Amino acid sequence: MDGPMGSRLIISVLAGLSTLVMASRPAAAEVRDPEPIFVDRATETGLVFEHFNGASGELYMPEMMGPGAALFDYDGDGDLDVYLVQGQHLGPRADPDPDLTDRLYRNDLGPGGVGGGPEARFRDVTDRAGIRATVYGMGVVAGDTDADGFPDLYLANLGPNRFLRNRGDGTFEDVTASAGSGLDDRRWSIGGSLFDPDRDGDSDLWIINYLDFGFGRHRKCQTVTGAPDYCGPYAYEGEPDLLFRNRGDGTFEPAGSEAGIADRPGASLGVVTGDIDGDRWPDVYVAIDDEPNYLWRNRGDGTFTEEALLAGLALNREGEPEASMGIDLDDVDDDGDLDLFLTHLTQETNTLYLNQGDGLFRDATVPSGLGPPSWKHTGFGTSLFDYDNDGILDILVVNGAIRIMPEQMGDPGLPLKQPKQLYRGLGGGQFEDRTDRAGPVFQIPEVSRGAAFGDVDTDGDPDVVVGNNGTRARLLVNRRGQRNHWVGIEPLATARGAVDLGTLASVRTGDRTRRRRVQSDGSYASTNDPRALVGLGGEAGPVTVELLRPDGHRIRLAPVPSDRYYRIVPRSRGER
Amino acid sequence: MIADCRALRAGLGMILALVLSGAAAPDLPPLPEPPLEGMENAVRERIEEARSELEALLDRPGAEDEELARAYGTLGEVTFTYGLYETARVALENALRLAPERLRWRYFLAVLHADDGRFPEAAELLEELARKPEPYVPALVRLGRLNLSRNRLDQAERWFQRALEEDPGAVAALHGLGMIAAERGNHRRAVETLERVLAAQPSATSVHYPLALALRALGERERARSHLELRGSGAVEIQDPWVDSLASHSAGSGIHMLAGNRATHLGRPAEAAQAFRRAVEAAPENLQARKALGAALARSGRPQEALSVYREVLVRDPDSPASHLNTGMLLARQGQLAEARDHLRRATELAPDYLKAWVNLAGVLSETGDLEDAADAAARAAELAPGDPEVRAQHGLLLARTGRPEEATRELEAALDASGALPPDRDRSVRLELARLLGRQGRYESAARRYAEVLERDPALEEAYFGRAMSLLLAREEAAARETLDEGLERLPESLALRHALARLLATATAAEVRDGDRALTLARQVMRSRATLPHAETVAMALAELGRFDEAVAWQERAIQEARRMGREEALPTLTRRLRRFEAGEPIRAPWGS
Repeated sequence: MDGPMGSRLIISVLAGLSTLVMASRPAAAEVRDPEPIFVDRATETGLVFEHFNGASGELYMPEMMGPGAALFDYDGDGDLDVYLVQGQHLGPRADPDPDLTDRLYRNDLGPGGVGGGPEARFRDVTDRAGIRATVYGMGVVAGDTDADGFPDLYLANLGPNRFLRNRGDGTFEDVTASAGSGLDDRRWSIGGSLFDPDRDGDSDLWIINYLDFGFGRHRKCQTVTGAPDYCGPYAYEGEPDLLFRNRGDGTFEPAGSEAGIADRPGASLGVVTGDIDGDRWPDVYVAIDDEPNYLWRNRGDGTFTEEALLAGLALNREGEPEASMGIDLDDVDDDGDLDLFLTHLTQETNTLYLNQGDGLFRDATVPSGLGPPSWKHTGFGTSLFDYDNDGILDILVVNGAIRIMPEQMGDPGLPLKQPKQLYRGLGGGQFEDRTDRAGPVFQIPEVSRGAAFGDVDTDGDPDVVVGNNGTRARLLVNRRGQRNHWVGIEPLATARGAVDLGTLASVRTGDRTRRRRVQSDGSYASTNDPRALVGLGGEAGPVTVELLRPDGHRIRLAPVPSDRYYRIVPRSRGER
Repeated sequence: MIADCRALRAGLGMILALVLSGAAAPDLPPLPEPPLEGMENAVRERIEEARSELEALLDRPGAEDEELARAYGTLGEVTFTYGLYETARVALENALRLAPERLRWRYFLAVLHADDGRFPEAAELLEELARKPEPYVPALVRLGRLNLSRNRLDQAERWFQRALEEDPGAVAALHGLGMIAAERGNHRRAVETLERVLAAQPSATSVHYPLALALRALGERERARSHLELRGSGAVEIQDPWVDSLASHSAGSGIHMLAGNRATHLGRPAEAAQAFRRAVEAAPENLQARKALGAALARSGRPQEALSVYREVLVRDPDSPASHLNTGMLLARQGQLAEARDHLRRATELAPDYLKAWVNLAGVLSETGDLEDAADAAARAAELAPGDPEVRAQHGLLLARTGRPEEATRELEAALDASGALPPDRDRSVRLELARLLGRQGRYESAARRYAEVLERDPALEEAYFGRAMSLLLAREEAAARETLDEGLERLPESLALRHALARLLATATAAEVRDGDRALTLARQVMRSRATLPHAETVAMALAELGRFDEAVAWQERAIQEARRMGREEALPTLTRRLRRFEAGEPIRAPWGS
């Protein structure tokens, strides 16, 4: 092992399921299996949450844009808890209902999972945690901003945003006013990312803002038949994103102007961060609704320059802007660099951009097979993840239209319902549509928006929490991933004690190396489990793990067994 | 109204029942009921008309298949025009069952399938069309595009080439070949082909993008960059007379509204205004169309027409905050401030959270001289948007003008601290005003820092050099003040104020290393030659004193005193006289601007 901390690392085995996997078994064959890949276990596990969108017939645009969700371990007990974002009454004279608040669900793992493993058990601890989030919510960013080991929450709202500090005792404190100027931004925010653009060992905050909607300037739009419909983004002006620099103690100062991002407004809906151009400085990619997307290249001096056009990331292959919503960044084709996946509007395709190794991208949607199946759907939350742990990244997309679907008029809920989709990675940036085998919940049309990805039941495969507009949230429990081997890597601790988001984890088995981003951003309005979960197929290991930190330092671990999570922390001075 | 809707739906249900029960051809699947709720009357009537024709035929014993096919086809076309895909699909399929030779409906059905994501079905229909002798060229192009999107590059290439054989001017087919070349990594061919596309259809400005990426792949970065700069939103158009003919079915304002919104989005306000005007003509009761027309006219530089449209809107909808705002803004731009103020005030009454209305109201009130009211309006705006630097800046500047320096300072500092950026001019003026305010409050070091920020942004601003130097002096930073004045004079050698300030500082600084009597005298004489004033004359005297030439200093000071008496400047006499006494006593001055 080497790296900035010398060879003094402690490898902590956090959880494992080695009893469930046979060390010598072959990779689970992709045969037609009657068992669904995902099952909805929200109700059974106690994740009972009904989103209220405040729709009143006025067709206010915000009412159909939420909600997001977060998977994070707020109490530090090693399993993922859930935060779900709530709406509120809408309108110029609407009184907020104090009962409509975001909700926090604590996970108390219990028996009942696949193969005798654990299953999530959720308990609503909103009141106990002191969370009163009654502004109309859109998204949530979770992460440890003050290096105390407990993730804090930044709430992206329609109206003043909120910053809740995790006290570490199971409760949160609203520190919006004291933690920094501008954190209570009142613009229509969607979500954001915690990352370390200045590589000073703490997490700074990038917040994406959407449109300058206000009830006083609510516009009424219509379909070609003249029937009322939701407006598109062109009805309002885009807003600039925000960047807050962490002072190192979890308080922030606005840095958007200095960084050069404040004079480029745009209708931002998604954001991912990572070293896109390979210069060891984390860049930012922002998905913009119906306008060219932004690639903010980090110059390493506190400023960013927007260079999406030449990078080949602003538009689709035809040179047309698309309505970008959901987003993820990871190494799709296993060539060592980060690729991008974006979800789009009905009658556009979802888009896959493959990195050519030099920060220049090509639109690989056509050969990927992702285009035609996505044409009919409007995609929001998404992730590049490996649901079957075969070592190849797959994709899940949750959908929901933004224009009224006439055939759904009169049905309960907003007439924007569409089914979810699952794509299986075939390697080399190619995919096939596996929605028909994904499970019955994938056939239920819903207005799905946020999706948070993470291993909720700690069984070594990714599950999904889906934030549905105007109806109940879903917990899609993975029933397939346990058939293969895996290894999980937690974010490193930085010198300051905060978690080091943005690390690239490489896992080698035999002659094959798989790289995964250790980050929690992406999807839509949501926060994912930051742990990298790397599927190994039938290869039981041991595996070689190498971590490339954002600052370029590499940490190599001696071969370790598979089917476990690992946390790598610096040894304190004097420790052996 | 509810009863009317129910009656209407019941009527439609009856029509549908008749269609189903009276089907002359029993094998034809039933038509899904088109969702008519909320549609404009003109559109609904157009659909009902097509359905009534069909119903009449289905009721009529012995109706010919050809007649029925035409009725189904027309209903299919009408519903397809309005995006009612389910009804359109079944209607067109029924029409084709009755009249399989009607290529036009086959084509529409294929386009519908493609629009609705049923690509295999669309491809099958288009291939049938493509196999006909003298095929319809747009069908070939669409077939090429379908195959391209499904990664069937060889088939796509074949159909594009076939389209070009049929019509060498089919630019969309050429474009398709260029995109195939790009997909295959044949970038040289992609460049050549896409350049031909642009030569044939320069309005297809979106093509500059794939062309630029192909050039990038060839390593020709500069050419790539120049094409990126030319990139626009113009798409490659398929010349498609059959689809164009569907416009004859259009009724109502919706289609025109969509076109107008799209043109607005693409930054083509004149085109948008044209579309919105058609929407207003199609549906005079459509207030949104009128509002959109007003906005498009305003954006196209036709304020009078826009104003007239907004006035009409306000007659019909007197409680529209946006229309009051837009009217107010247009009036303000034309200098009709009183009427503008009234409309803007009304907008804020109707929508108390309407930030833009408060901001504009504050602006107009400021122009009419109602500064207190303007500051109140700006305060309300700042409450609504505390993170908006422009709003905070407006409030701060108004507070400064109403004589509330401390509040103004706080507000302007908040404007600069906010995470958004101010436009460069605004940013500079905010920092300048802040510097002045800080200076007036005795916060000289802070003032000097703010002046320095102004100079970073505008190194040719005399006031900023002067203000910074004075602030530094007052903060007892004489060397830094001298440096600032030196820099300013180097940058602005014509500036009398800076030359004079430097002369006086060099003559009177407390710190010996800052003083330079010779240079002070040179500069002071230059200033005096340019403009003989009391302060300038005094500075000559001060410089002479610094050089120990006290007799000359006394002579200059006495002349200054005489001049002050002649000009009636009695208030200046005590200081002038006090300094005279110092010169007479052989003492130089060590306080450049009084105390």
